[in-house]
Amino acid sequence: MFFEVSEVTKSYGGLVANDKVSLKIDKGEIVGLIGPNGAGKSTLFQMVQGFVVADSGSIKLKGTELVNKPTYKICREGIACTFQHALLFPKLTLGESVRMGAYCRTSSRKKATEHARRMIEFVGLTDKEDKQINKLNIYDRKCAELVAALATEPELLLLDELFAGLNSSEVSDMIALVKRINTELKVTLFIIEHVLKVIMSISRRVYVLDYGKLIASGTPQEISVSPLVIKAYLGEEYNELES
Amino acid sequence: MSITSLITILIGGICAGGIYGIISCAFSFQYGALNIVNFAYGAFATIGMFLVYMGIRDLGLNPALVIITLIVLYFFVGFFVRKVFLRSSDGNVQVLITMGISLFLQNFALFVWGATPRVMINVVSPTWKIPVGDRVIMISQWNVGLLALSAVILIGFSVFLKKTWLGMAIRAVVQQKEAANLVGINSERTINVAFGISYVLLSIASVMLAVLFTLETTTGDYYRILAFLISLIAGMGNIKGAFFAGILFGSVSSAINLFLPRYHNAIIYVLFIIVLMFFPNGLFTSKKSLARSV
Amino acid sequence: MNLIKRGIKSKPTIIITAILMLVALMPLFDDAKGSMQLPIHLACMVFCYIALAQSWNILAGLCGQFSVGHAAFYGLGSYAVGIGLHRMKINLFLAILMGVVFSIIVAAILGVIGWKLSGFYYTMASIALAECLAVIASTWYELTSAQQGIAIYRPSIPKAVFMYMAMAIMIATIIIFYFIRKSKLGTTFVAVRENENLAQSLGANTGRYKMFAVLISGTMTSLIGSFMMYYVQAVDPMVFSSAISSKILIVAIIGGIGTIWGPIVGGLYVLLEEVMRGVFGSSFASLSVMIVGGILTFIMMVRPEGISAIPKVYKEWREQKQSNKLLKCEEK
Repeated sequence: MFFEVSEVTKSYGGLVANDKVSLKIDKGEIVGLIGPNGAGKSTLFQMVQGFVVADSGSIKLKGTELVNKPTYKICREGIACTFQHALLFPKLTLGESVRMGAYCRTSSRKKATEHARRMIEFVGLTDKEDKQINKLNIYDRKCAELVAALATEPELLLLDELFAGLNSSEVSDMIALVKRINTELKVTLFIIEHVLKVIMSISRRVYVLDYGKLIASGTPQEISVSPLVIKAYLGEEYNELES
Repeated sequence: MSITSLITILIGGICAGGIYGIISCAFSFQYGALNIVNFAYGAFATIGMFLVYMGIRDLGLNPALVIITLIVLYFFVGFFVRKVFLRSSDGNVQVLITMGISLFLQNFALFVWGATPRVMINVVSPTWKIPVGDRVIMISQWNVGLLALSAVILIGFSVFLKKTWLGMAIRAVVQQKEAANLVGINSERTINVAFGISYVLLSIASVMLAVLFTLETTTGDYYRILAFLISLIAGMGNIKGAFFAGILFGSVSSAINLFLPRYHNAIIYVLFIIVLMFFPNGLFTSKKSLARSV
Repeated sequence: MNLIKRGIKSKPTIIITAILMLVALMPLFDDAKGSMQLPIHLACMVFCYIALAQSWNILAGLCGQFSVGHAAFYGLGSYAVGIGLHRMKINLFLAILMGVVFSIIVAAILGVIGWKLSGFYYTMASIALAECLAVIASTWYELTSAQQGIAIYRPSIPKAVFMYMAMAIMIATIIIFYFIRKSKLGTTFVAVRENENLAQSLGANTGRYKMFAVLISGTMTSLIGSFMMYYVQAVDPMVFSSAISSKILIVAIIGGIGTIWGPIVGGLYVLLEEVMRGVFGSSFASLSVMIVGGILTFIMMVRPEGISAIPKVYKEWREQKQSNKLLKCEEK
């Protein structure tokens, strides 16, 4: 199994953020993770990246156990991510930020710069390569964070609400870019998203979290009509109204 | 050195612990709860001590008047410092600004009062003498009084934060600045007031320090590290812990003074480094922050 | 190679090189009365402090690890020469090496603390180390002669020689800073400063890089401290004081923190301080440190990025005027 989360649990004091969550991702897939706010999605991502250590359970990439590994080692194993607020490195230029990702795989400045340049070309931001990150607009910043993560040559890329704050044409552009990352760069994707258009159009499968538990999984179509999911998002009364 | 003298000195240290508790509490409040980095903390303590000395010894004013004036003054000093100097929330900028203030104040004190140590109270405190065999354990009544007073003050502060409207406003602002703004609390002013209150505590500690210890203009740096160290031991933001950590520190401090008085300060610094290296979350890990533990 | 060519051809470099060449010519104008001795001494101190500031700049400006107790390394380098030459009677290079060894130990302690902690904790740790050393230096009479300090004898060397050496050291630190900044090390340092979590998720073992930064910076500072002690021939516990740490800080920050030009512009501050000392005299040491404190507070309140932010601000002001003009044209 390419990527597997087994019975992962994390609590903070009395609050159970993730309760025996299990999921699987095949190589090359695009899998979505949705759920109401506070469901524990970001906590799960933080555990995959190594910022938070699971209380119990296991997270494996190609058979290698990731729990208790430090974040930078997890990156070298092949997992990269983007963060919710796209802060990136404000005072660095785009080129240098992406180079930072490239340095994950090489120590040579020349090779890293070339690799970074190629990745920046892939997303079409070559003309902005020398601009400082804090001078970029939000769409470019999100692309920049994406490119930096791609420069680490990941096998699995985690996207945490990448589409938040984008207008509808930017969303379409970004969807196209994400699809290209999946097909041309052969990167497996695991996406947290609230923008349903995204989840519907690009995920092959979707997992749904609520109050820390996995409540449903399946194709986007199956999820959208599942009563459990509807109840989680809209509440008990809506379900009763429906029936 | 007989056991009774040992005990006498240890008890003295424990009683001083109350003061250390207040010093730590005010600092902990500033850094743990208000997230304000105040490098000039020790310098303000030193200046407070000298102001009390000047008022009571040099000017011969009524001690109660001097103390109350200092406390009120320091509230406004705290308010003013936060309002004018500490507007940026960037920690590094705060460090440098308060470091500049610290240098200024410490050298101002050095310039005005010079390097000669002074003692404010020349009278020996009445003591209880407890006979043990043919020796005596001596407990200074004033020391015990100070300890009790410190406990009262810390409990009072705790109650203030929990029960009064202002205390609740402070806790609200500490937890969620924007939300507090939305419910009609002027967050900026509340933090300024809270900072002022922490300076009130600081001034009380200064007075007590002046009573118990020798005044020297160079002690600012030491009190700063002290405050941080004891706050670390107690757990940043923990009021109740501050009292007991202060007492623990007081005993350790007197023990060190007993055996290695020359290196006392150096040892404290080394302890500080060790605590930072191995127990950065505090010795008695209390993960709850001030706002939540009160 | 391209980078070096680009760096050398840039305007500021040319200006600085011109100034350095002028300063280098100063000793030629010296006469029997020694009228150039003071300017030579000042130049030497300016170069030394620029070098110190560049070393600090690597740790704090690039990597964002704010050490406010850098005097610890400076003092260790100084005392190593003092104790080595005066008490242990070893040769100079061994003494300097001893200073480096102790600085590395202290730097490693700071590095361990900085591995997981940052911000205020780190700053307090750095100053605790410096103050700890200050207390040890003022009380351990057998080793350091306590408050008296240590004076060493050395062969009489003209001040001009020290000035040239200081200039070389300063240039060396600038070059080191430049090459670090362009390399993977420097990029990672800045990444750690800007967003440590992201740097980790891009594969950097940030704790280790922070350790590198403090080891490099501490070693450089120690070496410069040793040099300065050999020049001045005396050291006392004040060498660990926060006045010195602040001076290094101010020189590094005043010109623009984290930039290669910052410390160079900041060197002017050293001149300012020497003038103040001349005006107030050494009996008013506390007054001059008060002013140091005041200046530090003032700079950080008014413009935390330092003076060399001025060209940036000016550029932004001009751009703003341009866009205003365009708007006005459109309205018409």
